[in-house]
Amino acid sequence: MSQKKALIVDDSTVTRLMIRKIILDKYPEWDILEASSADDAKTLLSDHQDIDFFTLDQNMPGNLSGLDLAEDLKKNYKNTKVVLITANIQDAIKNRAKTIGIDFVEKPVTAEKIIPHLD
Amino acid sequence: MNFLTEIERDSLCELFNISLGGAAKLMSEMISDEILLTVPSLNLITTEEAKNIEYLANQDVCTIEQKFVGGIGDGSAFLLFHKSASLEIVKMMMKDYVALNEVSQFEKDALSEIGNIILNAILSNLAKMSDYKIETHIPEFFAGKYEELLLKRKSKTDNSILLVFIDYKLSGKDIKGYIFFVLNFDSIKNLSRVLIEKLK
Repeated sequence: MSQKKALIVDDSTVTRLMIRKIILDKYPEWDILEASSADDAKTLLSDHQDIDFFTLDQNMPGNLSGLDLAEDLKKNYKNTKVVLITANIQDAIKNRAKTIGIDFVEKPVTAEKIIPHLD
Repeated sequence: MNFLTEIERDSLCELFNISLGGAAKLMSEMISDEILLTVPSLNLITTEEAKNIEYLANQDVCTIEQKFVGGIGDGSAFLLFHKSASLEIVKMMMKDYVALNEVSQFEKDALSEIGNIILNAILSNLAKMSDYKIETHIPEFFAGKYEELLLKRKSKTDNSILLVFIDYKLSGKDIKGYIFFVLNFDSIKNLSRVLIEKLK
């Protein structure tokens, strides 16, 4: 079986560190990539198109939000799992995530919230 | 000086009370410790008066500011710690993720993330209860004297600001912090009117 690959997109180093550890504690063999904005993630994707799992922060610096990037990913990576990580728990965000067809996790991130989305 | 009627004051206190319950739960989850909150104290005061608050004047502080825009107007929410407490809080948050001697490298980022989560939770609740849409910006970190923080934000149109101060304390530890909101008078009056209507 080929090695799985995850991309964590979040402007907070601390949150990236936490999600990385949660994933690797469960699946030490996974390859983890990180980006600090949606724009950086898009650049990374030009070299890595075989991502199995994305976590996207909603509010990041730059022109694209997590939901904007999620919309793009769902068009181009149809079988990839995408999870929106958000501190902004307004209904509008949840509803748009549901419309796009992605899951969401409310901050703070914990292993209990992330692990169910990994399988 | 502008003032709030008793019913306006009560409606706002109730709003912040409910919002803070959820925020305290989130913070407890992040640092694996119990958070004790005081009842919100609501004061409509000038920037000058705010600068002279006894327990903060001349103190070194770290704050995370979450600016917001929306139906209630523009404003800012702050999560504030005394500088001496900030590293302790970060240690509690990061203990499972980095070695203790590396914690200080993550201080600014970890506090910003705590601020982001706590203040967004409160603002989301505020939006839900008032039916106003609120958009938040990326949180900003500030470290320095408390007075400098307020000097930066003297309102151009209105010399009065609303400070909703909420003290919180970590159970069994000598760590205290504050959450406060800065809104101009018209915005806060408007918000209280909407809340009163909803309570009828």
